[in-house]
Amino acid sequence: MPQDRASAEELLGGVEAFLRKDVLPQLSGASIYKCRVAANILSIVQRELAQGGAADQAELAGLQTLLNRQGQGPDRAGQLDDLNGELCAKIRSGELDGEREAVMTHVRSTLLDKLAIANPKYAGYREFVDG
Amino acid sequence: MNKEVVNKEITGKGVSEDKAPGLSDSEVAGLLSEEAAHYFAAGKAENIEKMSGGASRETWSFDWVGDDGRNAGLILRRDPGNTGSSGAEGWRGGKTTYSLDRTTEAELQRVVSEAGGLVAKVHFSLPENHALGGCYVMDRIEGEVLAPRILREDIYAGARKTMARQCGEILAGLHAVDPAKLPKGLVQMPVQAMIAYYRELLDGISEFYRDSTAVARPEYHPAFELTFRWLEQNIPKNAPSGLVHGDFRNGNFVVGPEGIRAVLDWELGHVGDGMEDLGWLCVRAWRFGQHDKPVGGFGQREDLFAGYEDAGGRKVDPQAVHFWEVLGTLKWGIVCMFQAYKHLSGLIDSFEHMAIGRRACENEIDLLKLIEEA
Repeated sequence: MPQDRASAEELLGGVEAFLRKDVLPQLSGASIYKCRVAANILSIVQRELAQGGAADQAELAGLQTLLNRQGQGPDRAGQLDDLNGELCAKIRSGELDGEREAVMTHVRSTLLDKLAIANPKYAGYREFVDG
Repeated sequence: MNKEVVNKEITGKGVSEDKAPGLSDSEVAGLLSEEAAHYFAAGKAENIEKMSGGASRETWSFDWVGDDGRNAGLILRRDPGNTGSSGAEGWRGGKTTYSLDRTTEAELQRVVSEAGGLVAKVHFSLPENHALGGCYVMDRIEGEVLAPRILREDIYAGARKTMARQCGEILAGLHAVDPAKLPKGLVQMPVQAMIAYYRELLDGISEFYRDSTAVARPEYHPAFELTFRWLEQNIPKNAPSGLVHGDFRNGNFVVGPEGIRAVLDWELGHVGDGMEDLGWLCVRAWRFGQHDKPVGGFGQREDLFAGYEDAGGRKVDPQAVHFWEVLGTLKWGIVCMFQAYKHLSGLIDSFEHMAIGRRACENEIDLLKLIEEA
């Protein structure tokens, strides 16, 4: 059963605005930095709530295509771990050296989704997105 | 590697618990006055002030006012009393197991100074079993250390124009220091050993998350795996071995309007391929937003290389520097993971460190580009 409004993202947005607008101007010294980090963390979690599910689904589909199997696990997280474990082991052993293009394309696409959540302002991300 | 090994070898957890708690600030000030009196002509220590303190090193500033009227600005660099400083402890605050103890670091600074390097003169050092802990006293070089200020403030505009070239010149001198004169405590770090070190760290953290946290999931980084694979296949051949600073970057320079006045923090000094220092200086993390200036956010690679060669350094192979930039970016990415690990493993209590774990992927996207360019 869904929870009542406000939604998780809306709640976090409210707390984030409080930190930035009300708390931050009253702080001094090391607390300023900590308060900024705290507000940034809340914005990461809001983006993760909004985009995380689709990002995980896209990553899973990419892994399934690349490794040609569904992945084992009780849920999507388990399948992702199973397939990512295989991907990493095969990159490490050199087994995937011959499929470098396909591997790079999958890893890049996964990373761009990850950065869209973790830090969409990052210069190295903007270079990809803005061209 | 199991988690106990990670904790012992990499984080030093368990090491600090056996030791006495750290000294209070006034105790440090008292002991410092007492010790300095043994080394300098009659006088007294004044204006003793703690400049920075952290999990790894403390810096204290003081003036030695001699009875003869001589006044010297000095710096004390010490280990906080509640941790040892031996290499076995490793990985405190992102430092590596080949970190030098204070006595060896002081000795290295002396050797570099005698060879004409831009480094503060060391006056005396004290061993780890001294009440002050491992520490040394050196000249205080006036100037700016904070990288964002050096990169943005107008008074450093002239310095910024010359620093890339100057870095090349400084490094050429440093790499030419006679290996026979280097302190015995300096570790040989062949590139394979360094790669293996970060491999272990990545695997150790992932295993810890899988086996010892409520989330119980390993952490996979396919881009780091691609990088490890690339590194294995691109190790520079026939690299000569010599002194390497190990953390040569903006943030460890004392800068004045005319340029770099001194190089700080010799703790990661080791014997290896000097190109490591050139590559590390080009890692994106040190650009602080100045992305059109790949050398530390202040200059161009061509100027760095020209400065190095003109000052007697060996001919720079841009591919080798690129290799070390890739390894440096990988190191930084794994250090991001490690910062989160420090909190999640209970080593420290800091939510800010947790957030740094989410920055590992910034290095991953950069790495994909770097290994594709090559």
